Amino acid sequence: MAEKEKWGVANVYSSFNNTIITVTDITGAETITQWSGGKVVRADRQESSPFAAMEAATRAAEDVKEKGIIGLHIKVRAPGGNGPRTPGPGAQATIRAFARAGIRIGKIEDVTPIPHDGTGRPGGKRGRRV
Amino acid sequence: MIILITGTPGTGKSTVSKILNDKLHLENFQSTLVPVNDLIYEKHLYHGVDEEKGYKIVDIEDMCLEIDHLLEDSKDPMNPMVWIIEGHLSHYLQDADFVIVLRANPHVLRQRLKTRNWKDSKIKENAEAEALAVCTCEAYQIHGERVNEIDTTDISPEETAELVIDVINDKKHFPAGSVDFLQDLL
Ligand SMILES: Nc1ncnc2c1ncn2[C@@H]1O[C@H](COP(=O)(O)OP(=O)(O)O)[C@@H](O)[C@H]1O
Ligand SMILES: [Mg+2]
Repeated sequence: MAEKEKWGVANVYSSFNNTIITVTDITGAETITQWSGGKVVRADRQESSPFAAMEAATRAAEDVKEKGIIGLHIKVRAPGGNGPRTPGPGAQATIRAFARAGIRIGKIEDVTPIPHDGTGRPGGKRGRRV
Repeated sequence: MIILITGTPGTGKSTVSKILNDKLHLENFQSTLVPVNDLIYEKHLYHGVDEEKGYKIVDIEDMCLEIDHLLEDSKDPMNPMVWIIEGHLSHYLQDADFVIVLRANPHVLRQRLKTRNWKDSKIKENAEAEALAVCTCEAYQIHGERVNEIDTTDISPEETAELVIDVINDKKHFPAGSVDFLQDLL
């Protein structure tokens, strides 16, 4: 009988000018690899370079394949939207880099935290297409 | 002049805004403090409750309209008003001269929030939102270079208010993206 295909979970944390990718096993218990895009120096503040994030994803993909993992479910935490002034190197670039490295992409979940005290904004971004 | 003071809960918006308002009065400015959360409760500017997280889901459009009306109704060309609009949703307002995002290291923020008797999950989500700079990113998308972020981790509320005054006097600028706590998340 063929060995069961191994999948992992990639947590993508993308902030204003920095991205961190943490890949765990499917249970989330064991960290397989972690890469940081480092701070992306943005020459033009209107448009951040997704280069560092892509680079981090490519490195993470190598580690993941080495462990025999063929696909990743993605959990994105990224406050950036799709506007003309979107900060952040972009979770999109990260996911595309995974795919380009030959990793199969499973479920993509947006789990961006919402600041809240007694009030908060609607959580409509959850489940959006990334 | 319209000043929006935003930031994750616990970063010091209410404390700093009160001090700022007092300082402006001492310097004989006409200023008015608008605590957005109070307005939301008072005028019922929410359209539901998130039962799981335990917060009122704000109708952002209604909130903005209400504040716009408040500012419009008090307009007096002879007496220009400095508006201090304080709350973690204030950056959704479109009109502003300055947007100040208060920041705090997520570990320090956790300690500040622990005194509020919130559920652990609520403290955790806010600390994570702070690490990811959710308020800064949202504010930047709407207000661009008008956004300043001030790290309050190692300074007092009084010092923070002084830095806000320097910003509105165009003496200092703390661009969005200059505070980064992402590494503190892990
Ligand atoms: N530099 C600082 N600026 C503002 N608040 C600070 C600072 N340092 C410590 N604090 C403390 O953090 C807490 C912030 O509470 P609060 O002003 O109610 O925050 P918010 O309105 O943003 O939820 C207060 O107890 C305040 O004394
Ligand atoms: Mg407050």
